Amino acid sequence: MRKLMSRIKVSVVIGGLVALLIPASTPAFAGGVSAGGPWNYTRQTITAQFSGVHGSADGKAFAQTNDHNGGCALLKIRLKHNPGNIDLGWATSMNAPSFFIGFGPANTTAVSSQHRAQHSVDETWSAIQQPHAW
Amino acid sequence: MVPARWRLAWVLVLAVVACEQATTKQPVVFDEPLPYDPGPDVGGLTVQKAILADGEVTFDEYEKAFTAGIQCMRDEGFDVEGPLRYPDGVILIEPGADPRHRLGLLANNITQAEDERWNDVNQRCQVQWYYMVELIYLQQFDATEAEVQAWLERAWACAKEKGLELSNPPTESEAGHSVAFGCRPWENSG
Repeated sequence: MRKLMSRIKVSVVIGGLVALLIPASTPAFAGGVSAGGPWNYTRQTITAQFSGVHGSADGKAFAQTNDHNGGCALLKIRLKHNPGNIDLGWATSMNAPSFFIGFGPANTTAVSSQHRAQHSVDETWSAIQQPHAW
Repeated sequence: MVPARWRLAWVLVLAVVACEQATTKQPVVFDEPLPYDPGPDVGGLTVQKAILADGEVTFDEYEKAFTAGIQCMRDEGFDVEGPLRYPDGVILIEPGADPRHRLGLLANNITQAEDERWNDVNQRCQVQWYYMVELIYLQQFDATEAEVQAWLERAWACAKEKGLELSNPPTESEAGHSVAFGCRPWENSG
């Protein structure tokens, strides 16, 4: 019985090490993500849905606004990152994309983000939304 | 702080340049709702309309309008760097787009106490001085559906080469995130 328990312990340890090594060998797309939405923006009975995230990807802060149902026209993002409490200001997409991302420089961490969408029906802008308190 | 007479001179120079470049092309009519109330026209809206009046926006006009917008933010006391061009500053990505066409800015040390005022100033200066011009300038580079698809496929292929794990089928968002890992799907389009 003691021998069996010992083998189980060894297996658990090896399994744990493998579990730790596998994710490390496959780069993850994004880390430390803070996500919000989907938020609804309704005009003339049509609802545009969008969402927002911020986090880091390969050591670069990013913020991203997503169009969830094709109801949005332009998308906007605002990203604030550290070090230095640097704010990239509001940026607007040039088209009606499925997503719009802003990446900060290398070795930056996202602090917060804000997101807006333009409704495809009347081209008005949604209220500012954010994944968590700014 | 830039004296008011210099700002007025800058407005006049931009307006004259825009008028001189006017051709027989139809003016661009910008009739979309603006994302922010620009408030009273301090000259920027007039300059933007003058730039759009000749039916096209050049990079030079875009850069001048953007620079005026940054000056507007600096006049409010913010430490703003720019205009920045790829690869400096923020890299903005959407499917099919080339971030090298864009200009950007960095506002340093936006503390919690200044955050709300910066948000207002940033939006107001942008709408007053360059929002319309930027949008019309960038929309010259709209990608076709085929170009967007090719852009996505280059991004996914690059992500695989770099060992990034993709969903099956891969998502557009994953194509966008591949840029953080060094993929440049806007290059190689020939």
